[in-house]
Amino acid sequence: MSENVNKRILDNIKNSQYSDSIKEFLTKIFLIELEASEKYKSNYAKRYDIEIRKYADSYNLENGLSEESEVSGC
Amino acid sequence: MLIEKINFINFRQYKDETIEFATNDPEKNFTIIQGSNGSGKTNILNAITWCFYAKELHLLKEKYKGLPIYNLMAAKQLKPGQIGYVEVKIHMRDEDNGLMIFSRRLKFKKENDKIIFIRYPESEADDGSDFRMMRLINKDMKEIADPEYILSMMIPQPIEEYFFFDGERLDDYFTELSGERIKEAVFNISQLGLLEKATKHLEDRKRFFLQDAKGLGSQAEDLRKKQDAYSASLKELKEQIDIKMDQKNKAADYESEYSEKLRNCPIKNISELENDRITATIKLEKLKQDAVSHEKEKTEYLLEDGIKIFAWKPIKETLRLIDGKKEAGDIPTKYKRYFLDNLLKDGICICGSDISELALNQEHRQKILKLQRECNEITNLSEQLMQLHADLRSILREIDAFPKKQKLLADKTNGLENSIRENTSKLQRINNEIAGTDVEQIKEWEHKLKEYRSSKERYIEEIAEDKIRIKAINDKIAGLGKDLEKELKKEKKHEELRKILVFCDESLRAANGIKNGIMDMLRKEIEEKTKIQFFNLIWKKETYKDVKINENYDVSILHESGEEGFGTLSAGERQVLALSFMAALNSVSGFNVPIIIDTPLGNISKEPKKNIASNLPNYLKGKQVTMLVTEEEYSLEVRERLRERVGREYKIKFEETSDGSQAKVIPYE
Repeated sequence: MSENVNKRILDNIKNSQYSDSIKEFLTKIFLIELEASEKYKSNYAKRYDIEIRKYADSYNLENGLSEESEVSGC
Repeated sequence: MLIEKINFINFRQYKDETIEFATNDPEKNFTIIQGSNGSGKTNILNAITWCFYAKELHLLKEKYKGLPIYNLMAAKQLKPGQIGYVEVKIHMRDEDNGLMIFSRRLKFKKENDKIIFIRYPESEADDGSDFRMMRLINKDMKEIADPEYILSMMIPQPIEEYFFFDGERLDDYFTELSGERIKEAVFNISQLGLLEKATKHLEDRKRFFLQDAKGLGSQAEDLRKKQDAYSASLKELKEQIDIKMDQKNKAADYESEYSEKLRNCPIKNISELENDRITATIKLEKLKQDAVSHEKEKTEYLLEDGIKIFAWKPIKETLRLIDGKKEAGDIPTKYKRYFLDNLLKDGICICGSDISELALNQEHRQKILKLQRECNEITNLSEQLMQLHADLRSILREIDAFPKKQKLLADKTNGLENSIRENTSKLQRINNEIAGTDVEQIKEWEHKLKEYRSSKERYIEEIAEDKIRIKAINDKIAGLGKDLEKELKKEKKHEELRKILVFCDESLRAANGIKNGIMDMLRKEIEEKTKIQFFNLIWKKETYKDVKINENYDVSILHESGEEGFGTLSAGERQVLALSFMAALNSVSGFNVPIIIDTPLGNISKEPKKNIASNLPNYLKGKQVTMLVTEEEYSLEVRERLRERVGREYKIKFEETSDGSQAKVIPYE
């Protein structure tokens, strides 16, 4: 799949200063969107939730979620 | 990726054609197809987009929109009921030179001189056509499942127009399209649109998680407090049970102790004996009183009735005499005095005779009066005797009953005497039995035994009740435990959701940062490439100084005067600018897709055309390019400048017959 992906986006994600979990997660959801757009389907929620839960855990392990961590929109 | 060959069957004016494209030599990968206007150049583009997406995306000319997709000549040649088909087959090579064939076929049939289309049952296309993909795998062509998906990975439809485009439209590219639309084009071709969509979807998921997190405020603390309160009660109750158990055991020990003492005591039932003694004493006293009363009663009876025994003989004689008179008929009398009195008073005898004082015959009256006089004496005596007789009979009966009565009295006397003796004896026996024993001490022991036994039993009952209460509290604690477990799960879920939301926030921030960064970088890159290509292709190199694309993707040309020069561009210059911009977009897309340009030099005059022809191969270096050109576009000068890069050259030969028109693609002579 990735051969059809604009490498620039993946490279930018890869070379960004964000944590590995965030970078891997963004790559995943980007590929989900690519596949969804190409397959003309939009059932993204389930796949997003799987990836969010997967990477939220590793992100919080990497960064240590504190009590003070605030969520925008709460 | 390369297009190797396209087969057309009954597609518009192409009845049965094959076009082979320049592929083998990367230095000669230009294919030129020359045709006059209306000969079918644009329909080559349409054939490609129809094959790929089941849509003819380049039907620009209104006159073609009404014409059917099938070849009119082929349709005319069909017999009634006969089935024909339209087919476009595109042979491609992937990065590894692997062969892929995409084909689309549409069935039609002649019925009552009309052509009707027949849908393929499995078709998902609007026109009912059948799309397939074959791939060379291990020297065999094999059909690939889900060809739409494979194709969309290679050439997504949203960016198709940046690879297969109509040069004539380029003239209006910047006048028709706003900066917003160009930005969208950049988004699409660079796939940043996907990143933006991912951001939107991520925001959507974040909203969902936020919603999910609502109402997860935990009641675990309250439940914990309740559970603690119940646990404290339980502890207290258990302590009380321990105390009661201790008390019960002590009571049981005392019970055993006094039981043992009493067991060792010679008299086992001192209290019982004592009770018996009291009862016997009371009873004896009562019996003695009864005996005294009875004796008195007996004496009174003898004094009153015993005397009558001595009169028994005279009473008997008197009764005999009275009975004799009765038998003689002397008593009672024949007439009753009151009867005669009434007759005389009424003056009428029972026989009806007048016996009044005034009666004519006084004889009857005199007889009655005589009877009255006699009756006076006899009646009085008779009545006295009858009364006496009755009295004497009564006395006689009493005398007769005397022995029986006397016996009864004697029996009662005996009974009382026996009872007194028995009780006296019992009392004596008890007194003998408890003589020499410390009765009070034993009674005290018995009292203590009873008290401790009762105390032990009370504790046993209370402990049993406490155990029931403990079970109820334990049930309550277990219930609270389950509720607490649920609440803790909620608490855990809440914490998990918070982690997720923090992660979503950070991911959104990162995605937006990356997206904006790439967008800016792309814009600058597109600006730079557009500028370079524009100044390579443009013939008035000194007239314009710079090409700028601002953050809103508004393209501007800086005139040598320092003013905005976009408005001064000719149609040809605008086409060059658009071509440069499209090529720049293409180059930043990251997709290695062949480029097919329809009439790329349509609006460009002779000299600039030569300049473009010289620079275009360098400008599109490494790309497989197909140019669909008119004879005017593909002038000798242009052909000469492109010659080194052209691998295939064709002309479209357009023929019109009475059965319809058809186009043939023949080698360029």
